[in-house]
Amino acid sequence: MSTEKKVWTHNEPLFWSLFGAGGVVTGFFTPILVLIVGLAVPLGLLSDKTMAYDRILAFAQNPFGGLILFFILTLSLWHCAHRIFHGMHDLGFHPGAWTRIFTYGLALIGTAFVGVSLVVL
Amino acid sequence: MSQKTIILNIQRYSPEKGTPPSKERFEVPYSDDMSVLDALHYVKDELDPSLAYRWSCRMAVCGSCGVVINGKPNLSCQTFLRDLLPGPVSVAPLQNFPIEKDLVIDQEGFLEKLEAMKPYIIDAMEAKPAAKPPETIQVGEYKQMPAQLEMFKQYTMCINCLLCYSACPQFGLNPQFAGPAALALGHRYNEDNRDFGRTEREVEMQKKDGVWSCTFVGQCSVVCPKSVDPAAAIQQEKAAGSMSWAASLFMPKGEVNSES
Amino acid sequence: MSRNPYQPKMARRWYLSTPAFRAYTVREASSLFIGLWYLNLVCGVTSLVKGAASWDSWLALQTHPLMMLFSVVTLLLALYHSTTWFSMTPRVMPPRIAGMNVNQPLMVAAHWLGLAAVSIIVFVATLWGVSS
Repeated sequence: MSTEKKVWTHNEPLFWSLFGAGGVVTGFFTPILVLIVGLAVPLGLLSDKTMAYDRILAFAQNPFGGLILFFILTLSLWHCAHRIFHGMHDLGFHPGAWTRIFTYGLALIGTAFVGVSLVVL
Repeated sequence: MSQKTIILNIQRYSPEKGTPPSKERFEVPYSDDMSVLDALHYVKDELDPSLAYRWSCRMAVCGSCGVVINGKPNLSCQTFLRDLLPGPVSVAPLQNFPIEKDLVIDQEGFLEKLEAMKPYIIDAMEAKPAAKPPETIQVGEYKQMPAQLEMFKQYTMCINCLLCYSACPQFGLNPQFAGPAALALGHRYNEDNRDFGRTEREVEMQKKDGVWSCTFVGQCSVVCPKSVDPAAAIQQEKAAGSMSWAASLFMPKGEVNSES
Repeated sequence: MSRNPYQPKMARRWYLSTPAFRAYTVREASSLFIGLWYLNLVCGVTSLVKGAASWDSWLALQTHPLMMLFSVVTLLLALYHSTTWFSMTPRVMPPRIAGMNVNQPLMVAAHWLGLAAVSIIVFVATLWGVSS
């Protein structure tokens, strides 16, 4: 019979674990992705053909490629949502349920968009 | 020509007067071997006997003399005037604590948090739920290999000086936060192979004001005079707690932390 | 003797008040830019679904000067995130794993090697089979 206080009255470990996984993924992948997609291609340093529709479509349609895209994008979003949410507390705003819904919600929406997109492709 | 005196700007607060704390200037003779604590002694002995401050061992093992020197939490016995030349040197009480008088802060809240961590070996038989005792145990005898000691040794070095609490902004924002030293001590016992009390400590350590209020700013470990690395202890407890949380999802209701 | 403790208040802008806290704030703020940049990528994936025209206009958006400025800032902050993350990860490990002491500097170095490896792999994959 339980006479002790319940330990898990919150779900922080879930968000922290997503934050951790996302931190690893974003730590390794973001620099090169931003460099290529955000700078090298737009600046014309790499051929336009690298980001051609057919090429990227084929990558996203590939089950392996699609999975990679899914995890890199969504885990990074969960990582950032967690940090932004807790950052609100640091800044002096006392983030309530709505802030949590907003930040993690954006990550969830992003996850949904990516997931649905990749399934559809 | 070497410096003969040094200026100390010491934060004063009088509970009798009750006016907000303010800095008072003192000129103290300087020599190469003087610590800030020596300078405080000089002020109290020669200039103003009403100055209140804590100290004891003078050698950085008792944890009594924590103060904020030039904006950084430090032990006054281990901070030397020669490293702060030419001065002036500002001395203030530890941040984030109520100030009793001058440099003396109220650490009662911390002591309660420390006690709540159950900072003692919880035997296999005493643990809730009771654990199977290791085979070689007899009353009072434990086996511990050097490798097992390595798992928690650095976390035993804490001298409860509270520099980490002064440095921790999460504690400043939330005085209910258990804080670096208390959580590091809980971790110390969780990692000790002679201890079986991890589950018992979970309520205090894994609550929102426990490890989950920490955002790994890391300043606690930077200021720690004993290289305890409480930040690391807390992250490791988050990892352990996450696995316990995941396991709890598979447990039927009513069996959480129950006594057998 | 009666007690009358004085309760100090935390500085309003504590997160900008010391070099260490400023560095922490930059680290946390990096997630704002990285998060928004990944939402940009999500828009890219969505435009991929919509078709070639939509995709091309998303690509064109990446060339907009403001977007490129955003990418530059994000790149710098992403590198800062990687730096801080790599140095923090070894401390989440226990002092010993699998019978060996954890060598923290070695772990950090391994992370940087990993970043280099991942970057090279992605770069090569991007250019694979593309004739300039």
